[in-house]
Amino acid sequence: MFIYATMESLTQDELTFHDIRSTDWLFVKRLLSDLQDDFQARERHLIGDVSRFMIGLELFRLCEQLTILNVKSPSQRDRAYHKGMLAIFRGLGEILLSDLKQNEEINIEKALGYTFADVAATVEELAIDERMHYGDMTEERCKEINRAIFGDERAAEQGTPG
Amino acid sequence: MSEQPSKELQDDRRRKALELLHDFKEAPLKEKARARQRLFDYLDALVEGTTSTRLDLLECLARDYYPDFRAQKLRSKQ
Repeated sequence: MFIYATMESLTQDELTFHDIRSTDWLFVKRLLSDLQDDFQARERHLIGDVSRFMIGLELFRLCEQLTILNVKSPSQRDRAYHKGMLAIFRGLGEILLSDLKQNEEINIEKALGYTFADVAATVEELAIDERMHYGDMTEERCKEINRAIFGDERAAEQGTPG
Repeated sequence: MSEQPSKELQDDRRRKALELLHDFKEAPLKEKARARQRLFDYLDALVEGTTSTRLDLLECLARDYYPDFRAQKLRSKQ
């Protein structure tokens, strides 16, 4: 019954293999072909996601440059947007990393020229940036760290970033 | 008790940490993982034996990095 149903959907060329054994193999072949198509679709989808994420991040970095880094006193609105976008990109990055981990067989390096580790480092950079721009370390704590590691308090006296 | 490192050595350490942070932040995507590793290895060695974490130190270094150090580095690159 199963074989007949499968045979009905076969093309004329495929039906020329009229014995059961050949059609069984054709069915397996088709199934494999479908699986490969699924895999390729998922690969394209994931690679597209990584690529779009990186393009979005590049645009974010450009805006950051113009509104935060190259400006002496960024406006309150720009800082709020920067903080929010940074958090959104980091969150999306974490989701992307999780998807990539679940599809380890997909080689993004072949398509994009960079590795999973590079994407992970980029997402980690966003987390570091959040801390660097909007961390809530007190002056006292920073002095303590500078004293313990560099033996002085100079960095703590130079104001806060952003 | 261990001897306190010289002022010059401490300055060198801070400069090196900032250089590595800069290299990481400016690294092209395909070199990001390697730059991150170099930075983290160095910072981990610096915080070893202290009560600070790598992230604490990074947050602290940011006060030197933004905006002065970064602007200087970018100017010298042009």
